[in-house]
Amino acid sequence: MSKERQIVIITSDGDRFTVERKVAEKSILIKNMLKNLLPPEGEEPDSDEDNEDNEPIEIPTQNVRSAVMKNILEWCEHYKDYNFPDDEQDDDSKKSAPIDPWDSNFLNVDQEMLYEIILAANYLNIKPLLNAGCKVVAEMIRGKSPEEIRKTFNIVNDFTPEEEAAIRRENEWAEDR
Amino acid sequence: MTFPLLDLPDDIISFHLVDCLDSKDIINLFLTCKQLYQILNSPVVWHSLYIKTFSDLGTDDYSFDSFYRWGPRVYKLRANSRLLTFGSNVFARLGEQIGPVSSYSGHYERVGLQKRIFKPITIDSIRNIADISAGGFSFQILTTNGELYYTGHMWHGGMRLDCPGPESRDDAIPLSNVHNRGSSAISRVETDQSNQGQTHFISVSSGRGHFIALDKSGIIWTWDSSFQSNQGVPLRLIRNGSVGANAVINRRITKIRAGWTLSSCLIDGVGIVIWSRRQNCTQWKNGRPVNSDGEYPAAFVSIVPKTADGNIADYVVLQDVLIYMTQKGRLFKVDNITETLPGHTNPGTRLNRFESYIKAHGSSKFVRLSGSFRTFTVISNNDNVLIGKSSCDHYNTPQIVHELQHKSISTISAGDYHFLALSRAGKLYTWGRESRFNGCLGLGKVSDIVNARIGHIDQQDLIVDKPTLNNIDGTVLAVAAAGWQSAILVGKDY
Repeated sequence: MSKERQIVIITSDGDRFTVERKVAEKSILIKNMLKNLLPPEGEEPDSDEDNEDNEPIEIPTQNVRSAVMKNILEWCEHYKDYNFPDDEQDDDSKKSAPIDPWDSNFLNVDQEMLYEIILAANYLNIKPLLNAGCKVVAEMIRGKSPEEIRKTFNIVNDFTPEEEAAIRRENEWAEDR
Repeated sequence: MTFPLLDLPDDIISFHLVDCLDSKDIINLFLTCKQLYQILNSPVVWHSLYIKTFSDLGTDDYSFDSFYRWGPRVYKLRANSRLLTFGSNVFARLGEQIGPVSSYSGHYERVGLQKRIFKPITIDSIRNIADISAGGFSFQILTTNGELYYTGHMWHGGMRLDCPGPESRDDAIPLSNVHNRGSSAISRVETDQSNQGQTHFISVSSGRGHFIALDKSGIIWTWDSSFQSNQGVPLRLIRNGSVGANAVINRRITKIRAGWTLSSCLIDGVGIVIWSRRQNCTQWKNGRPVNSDGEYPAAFVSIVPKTADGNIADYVVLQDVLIYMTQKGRLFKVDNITETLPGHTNPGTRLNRFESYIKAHGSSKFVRLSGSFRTFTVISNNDNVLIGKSSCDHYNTPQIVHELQHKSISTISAGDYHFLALSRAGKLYTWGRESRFNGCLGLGKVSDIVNARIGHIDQQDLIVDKPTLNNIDGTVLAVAAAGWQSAILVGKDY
């Protein structure tokens, strides 16, 4: 039986991470790339391609820097043996469920790193991680007034008083709910 | 550093972040700044808001294309909508007592001894309605903040109907503690007698003389005994014929459906379960009625085979059969649901004639299912509308109402003998039989209907054979029919 080819993820700042296939495939983007390059997992490659087997497969990720990729791969490693259902991203009940404690601890990072993890999860198409990141941001918003939300995210209120009054009037139907 | 929310790509905010928030929080985000207002003012966000606020456990009553055409308007219409009812008002089930001196004098005519309410009356005592469910003798109304109400004096019909219900009378529950205000005949259900406040409900479903509701913590409550007041009974679900810890079902409930004389729910990893009996309540614990062991009364459930694997899109429980629709849009019927195998019902059989019909008429699958008593209706992805009736080859052969085919019908609700159909444009069509001229079609005076040749009289009944447009002032957003009465939610632009 031939040895499985190595998968090397190269970050925007040139770092190289060698990972197991099932770790890399937590990213649907990478999974789809590998689909075209490798036989399905568990199947032998064609014999005439054997000479390529020792070459590692390099996957450049131009949008993700090394420090962020390290975190992303830690998440992928943790969930490598867990099969997320295909439709998880469409299941609203899962989105309204509280964040998983492991994810919550994992995402207890500084705000810039959280932002970059969310962007990277979106780019690499890792929906469960993207959802977990959004849940953390949602917790910062939940139960706050517009003014409190502005303070939390350092947002400048650029509505004129007239505009704000008009929007409030328009949104009266949504109050007292 | 603060989190750079405004730097997130628009699609992450609209598609992912919004899904993790409650509707109130989304509205507050709208009000923070122009950039967020612009990002959020999109069909996908309004669609998400609508489902979060008004839909039964995330069921989408409105197609996504409505939000492209209407944007926030459909949400605002629904938020400002009013409840209108018409038909039989026995037990004041329409939600209002119509006295001798009433502002509704133009809404009814006298037929024999009864007032035939042929024109909808507006029920103003309740607003912010998330869902209406129609039972045989009453409507159940769920508000957007999780309160549950019922109309009329006797949701059970006072007939001591046999099931579902307690094995023997609930000694612990007082007979009646209902207080209606003024002419309004709407009462709120009670759950907790302690000072911990009331339960937040997220779904309600009505049978002939009973109803069930699901609260936010995943507990099913039942009102199912003719001796029961407005106090609900919380249930534990136990596998019929099993004993021990494994018999208790604790998994997440995703849908509840009260049938004619049965109750049922869909449970993750278990499937559709049905029950017709529960233990009675003999005492109180923490402000809630419980059984003699101090636990929530057990409902002994039977499981419908082959429904456990997450493939059920929707289902209805009729008088003697259960119809379910799979995620792939296939249709199955489970016969003799009242005659169960030990712990299980019969398995479902495919309704092949329904599927053959839609395939021959441009559709590939069913997308919507509704029904009650002896009738169910299905709508296909290419707007075919098919009706299954007990009297039509025991539900095996579809009845086709030609006037409804490819007319953008989004919802159909069936009473005992009448139908309400709602189009995506918010138009209401009614047809069927008004038993003893009960007014449930809402089409006007009997003489006018007969003279206009819209309907005809059959002994004590008025019959309208074809779906007929009902002139409602406003946009109809939801419909509920059962027994001899009808309810609609109507929105207007303000």
